[in-house]
Amino acid sequence: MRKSIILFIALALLVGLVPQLTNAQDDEMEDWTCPEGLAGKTLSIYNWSTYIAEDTVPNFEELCDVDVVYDVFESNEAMLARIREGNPGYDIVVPTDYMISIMIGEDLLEPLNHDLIPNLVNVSEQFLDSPFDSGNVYSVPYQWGTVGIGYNVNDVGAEVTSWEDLFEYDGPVAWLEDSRAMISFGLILQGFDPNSADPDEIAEARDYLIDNSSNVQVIAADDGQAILQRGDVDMTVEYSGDIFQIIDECGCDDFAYVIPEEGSVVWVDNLAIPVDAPEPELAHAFIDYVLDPQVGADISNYTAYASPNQAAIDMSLIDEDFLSDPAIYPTDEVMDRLYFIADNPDAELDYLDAWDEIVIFSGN
Amino acid sequence: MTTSTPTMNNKPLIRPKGSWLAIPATLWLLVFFVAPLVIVVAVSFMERGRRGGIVQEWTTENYTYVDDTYKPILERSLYIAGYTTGICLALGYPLAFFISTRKSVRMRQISLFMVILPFWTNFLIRTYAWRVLLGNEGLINTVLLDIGVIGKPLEIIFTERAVTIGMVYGFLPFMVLPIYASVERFDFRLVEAAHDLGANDWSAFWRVVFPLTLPGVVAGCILVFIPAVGAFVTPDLLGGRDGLMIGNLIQRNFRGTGHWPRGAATSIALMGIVAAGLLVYMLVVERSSRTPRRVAAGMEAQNKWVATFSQIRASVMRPIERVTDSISQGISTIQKSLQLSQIWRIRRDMAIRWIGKIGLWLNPIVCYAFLWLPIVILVAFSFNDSRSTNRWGGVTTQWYGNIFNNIVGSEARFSTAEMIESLQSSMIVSLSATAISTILGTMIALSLVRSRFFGKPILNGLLYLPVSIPEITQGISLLLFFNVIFDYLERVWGLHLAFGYATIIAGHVSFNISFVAIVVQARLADMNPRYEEAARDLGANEWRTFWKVTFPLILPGVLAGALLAFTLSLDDFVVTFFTSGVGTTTLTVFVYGLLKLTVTPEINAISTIMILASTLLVGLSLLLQGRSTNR
Repeated sequence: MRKSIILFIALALLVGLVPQLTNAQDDEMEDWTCPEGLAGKTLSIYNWSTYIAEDTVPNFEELCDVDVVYDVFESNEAMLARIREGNPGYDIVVPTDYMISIMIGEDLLEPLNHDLIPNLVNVSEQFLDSPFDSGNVYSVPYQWGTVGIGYNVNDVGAEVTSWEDLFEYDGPVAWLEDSRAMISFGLILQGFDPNSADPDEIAEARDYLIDNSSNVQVIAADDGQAILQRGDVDMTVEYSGDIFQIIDECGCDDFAYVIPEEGSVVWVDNLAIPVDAPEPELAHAFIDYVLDPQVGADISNYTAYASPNQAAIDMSLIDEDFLSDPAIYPTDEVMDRLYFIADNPDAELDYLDAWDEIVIFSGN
Repeated sequence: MTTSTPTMNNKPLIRPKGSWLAIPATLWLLVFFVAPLVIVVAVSFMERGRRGGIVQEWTTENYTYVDDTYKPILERSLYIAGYTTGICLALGYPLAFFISTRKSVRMRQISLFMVILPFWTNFLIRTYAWRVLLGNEGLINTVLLDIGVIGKPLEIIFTERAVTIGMVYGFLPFMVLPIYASVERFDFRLVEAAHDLGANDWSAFWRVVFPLTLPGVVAGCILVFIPAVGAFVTPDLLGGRDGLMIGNLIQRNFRGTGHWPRGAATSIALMGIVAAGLLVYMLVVERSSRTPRRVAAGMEAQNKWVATFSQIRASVMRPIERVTDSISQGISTIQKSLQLSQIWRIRRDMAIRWIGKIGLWLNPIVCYAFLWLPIVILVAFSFNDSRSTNRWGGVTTQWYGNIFNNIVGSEARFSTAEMIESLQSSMIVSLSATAISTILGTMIALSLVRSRFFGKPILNGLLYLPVSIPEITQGISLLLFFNVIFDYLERVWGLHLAFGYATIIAGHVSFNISFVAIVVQARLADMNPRYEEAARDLGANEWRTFWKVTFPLILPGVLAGALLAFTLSLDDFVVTFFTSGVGTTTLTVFVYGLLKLTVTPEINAISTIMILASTLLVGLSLLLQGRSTNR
């Protein structure tokens, strides 16, 4: 009897309190307030292309009364090369997991001040304290996704399920200018660890990819979705959200995205502040702004990548279609086939040389 | 020397006094061109750090790697550039001839501007137009499939063919302009003389016209070949796997994988190829144009450097000459044995004239269609009420509306404000670079043509260096140079400098000086020195002579040089790409980002606005020019 009373009270409390809670959060997200003293400054962001919602930056400019310079890069390696030259003046960069550990190892990132990022509590625990940055000293998760195959359903005429389907396809395909991901596919198909540091295994993966490259038209630098959409290729290796963006845009059933059954890369992109950033304080404000549930949800609803923002998911701010799509939020069973790319400082040059040769000798 | 020919007076008019004029440009080129190249050479023999960057360990392994791995791509770059140059020459020579033989000045200007105008729209947009046209579902394939000429799409995009087409399109004006300049100067009474002496059109052309316009042809070929062999934007946008060129590999080593030493070694290899090509070219041209160049050669021959060089060359050329001479003797023997009767000769000559006339009319039609079709299509599709790039969905102005409502490229997330900002950046860079390079370039041209001093041939060579080095090599050399300098300044003086307007302008000026100087030099060489002599006889001092006589006479050359510099600077992507910092995104860099990522029709609308703007600008200048000549 007592138990049921307690249960009853608990239920009543829950029912009564929950709406209030959400209301409270509603207010919070509608007016994310910009910290004082930032007006008139300029924030320089260096992000991946097609990787933010249309209004994210303009709203931030308005809320903080600042200017934003927004540049884009096409690959982690390209971004790294730029920052290694000496930070040309960026306040925010968006490196992927393994790239975070590379950049930490080279002292290219500034430690974050968590006091300036109260919205960090919104991030799912699954994505906090990751091995590449334990304690989130240097980075906070931005969005996550997978690498897979985007294809034109009509032109391919069959369901694509595996990397083999891509390699054996009789028609034009595009690969992705992401050396570590592409070589990892060669490694897993040869039965090796996708993060192998063994030069011989990397060489075998390289040869496997070169042998299977006769249908490759172009190795696309993060614009595979545009090439697919234009009809210049029938299949492309791409990051998940880029393909969902064109599916969304055409509102048709012409395109599909698949995570191949042999396995593939799962990645988390992170917001970080590079060393010598001119406006670190403003950068912290921007990071906090992006972690706001509504802002984070808007970004993910627009870019069609998965959000690490648990608060946004709990508050149902993410499109139901996206949340229930296993290609965007993979099931546990699919998750088991996915792997992260690991930083391999000793094998960096091996990967680099292998990729160089793949680019040059593919198709021969 | 007799004084019967006016050009035989080769005594310089302004003696060594003028040599100081060369100093500023020389210093600029030494600091922003030669020093960076020296750094590239040094870096090419260093090792890559475990985490990128450079380690000062000397090695030749970068060259071994380039030789082992990059060779096929080097070869491909070479023949794509060769094709491009050949096609440009075949299309460009008759076109230049057509333009310069228009009767009225107005017609000549219009037909010339019809060539230059597409050239004034952004290089990237012109290349993008071809991506739209050549795609598997592009306009050409769609139309051909619809009318049933082909059963399945032609594979053009992502091949060497696509790259060649894109580059011919991009570089044709480089061929036409220098040839036009030399044909325009050509005295057509010489053709009459040749005819009077019994030559038909064919031999009059090959024996008189062509040799005399050869300097223009050479200049055109060099101006096309060098950017073509080091191209990276066109293969990047059109080439795909099969059209990958050496420029892409260099770019990847700097902005992709961060293997600077390897990228440096690749650039040196590219420069080597270009240098070898230039040498072969010079040998061939020198030989075939001996007669008309003798005057110039005589002028220079006194100089020891040239003398030594020509001795070396002579020892190489003599055996070759012997072979070619015997061949040409053989040919003339055959020709003699095939002597035609008078009537057949006339008929043959009439046929040649007829074919030549048709060719001279057909070529401009083909060329202008080639130059303008992509632009017409871009403009048309900017009003297309469909996102498709190959289907017509009715007329709309919504893409223009988007631009004015601050949405540019609905997927790219660039705003119109950003585009305007990038346009401002472009203007800052181009105007500053044009002003500086026009002044420095004109000064050095004057000193080189008008005075003689120690080291002049070296200086001449220095001036041709920026023209004879692929842009990408210049871009990465500046990148390395500024990195080294900034590093040093930070270490020694704690000065923190970064890439920005200054670095971009420095780069632009160093390639523009040469273009300005070459154009002005040509004008100066063309000038009759007697005007100046007359002015001096009438009591004008050097200063007065210069401003009252020389400057007005070379002004068209200076203006042409400035215009060229402005155009090149505005259109430059490669040097800007490697020397820009944060917030100095120029229009070309902005457009590159836009093109890489989107298939949005807003790009067509932007292109149309840009074309319209440049048309207005050019039209205005035409109008102004017309007015001043009428007066």
